[in-house]
Amino acid sequence: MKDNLNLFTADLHIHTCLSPCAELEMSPKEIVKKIKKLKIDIVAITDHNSSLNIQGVRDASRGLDFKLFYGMEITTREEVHLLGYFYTLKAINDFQKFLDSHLENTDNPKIFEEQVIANGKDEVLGFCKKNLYMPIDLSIEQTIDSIHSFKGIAIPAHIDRMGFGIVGQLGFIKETLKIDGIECYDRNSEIAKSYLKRYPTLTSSDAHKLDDIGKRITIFKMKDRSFKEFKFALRGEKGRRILFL
Amino acid sequence: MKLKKIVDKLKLKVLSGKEYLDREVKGGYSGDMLSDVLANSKEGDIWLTVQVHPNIVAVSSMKGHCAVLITNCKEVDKETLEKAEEEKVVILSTKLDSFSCIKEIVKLMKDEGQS
Repeated sequence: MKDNLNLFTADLHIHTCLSPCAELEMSPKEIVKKIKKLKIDIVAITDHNSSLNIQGVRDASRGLDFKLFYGMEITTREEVHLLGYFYTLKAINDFQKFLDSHLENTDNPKIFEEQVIANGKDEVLGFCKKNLYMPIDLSIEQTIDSIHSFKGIAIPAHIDRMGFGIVGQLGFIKETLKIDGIECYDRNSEIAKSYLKRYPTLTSSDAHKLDDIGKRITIFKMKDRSFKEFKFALRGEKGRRILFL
Repeated sequence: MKLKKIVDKLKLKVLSGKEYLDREVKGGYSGDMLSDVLANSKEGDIWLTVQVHPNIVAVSSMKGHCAVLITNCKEVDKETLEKAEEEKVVILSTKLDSFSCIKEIVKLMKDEGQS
């Protein structure tokens, strides 16, 4: 018997006040409030090189009707932004431990905002001292392999943005690169158009302030909002897929 | 000016393409975003970059540079060097930064009446 498939909206690239380039207003409670208002089905928190605020957003979203994916936006040695999505909080926290050994201890310079660690009640738990905007010391290939070894999904972020996008930094996407999809800002951009056919393509907000949340979304056709279904949709398996509007 | 002159003068390490140091250096380009290098560098350029990813070989080969000079260099991927040998791309390296290298290269070019 065929599964009953539904449509789900997703914004899988949202920063919190932990990211040095994000606004302080991106606190767990405020982000959750905004998602609830917009009625987005699935969201992912993706701070730069850190998962420290995911617990806070998770606590703030308790009892609410949206699914939270655990993500991170990693800056590789080539200064390419790469999104990693993980099944469980444990998986991303284990990945974080691994990543910490590859991120140099440089102080967060004054030009950036404070990197605020907050709990589900929007209370400040502390400040991340490492400069999260710095690249790790692994190549993009090594980072992808590491994400996969923690059973995660690896997707280059905003490939159509010159700074920190894979095409801007590295000129093109090698066919042998083991990515699970791509993310673009605009499906009609020249760069996006040249890779759309080769990879499943997400469009997400990359929100750094509250008003940006849900500004760009991806629509999934799948059975439910689980991470497993998300994987099926990326691979185009069992009728699951990403819908284009 | 021959590539070898720059290699000798700046005491560069030759990581690949040892047999092609007699190539003519027509000009130079400095950039770390490969998209920019693809768009703006020219044939015969010596390309200075801090990137060590294998894609630099494809870019350099496509543009017909005389060599890639990796500046602030600590280590280069094995895959990059293997590909470079295959594609006849000369990879040079130095611990100096790009600006310091460019100053020296320009001096050499002036001596040769090239710029």
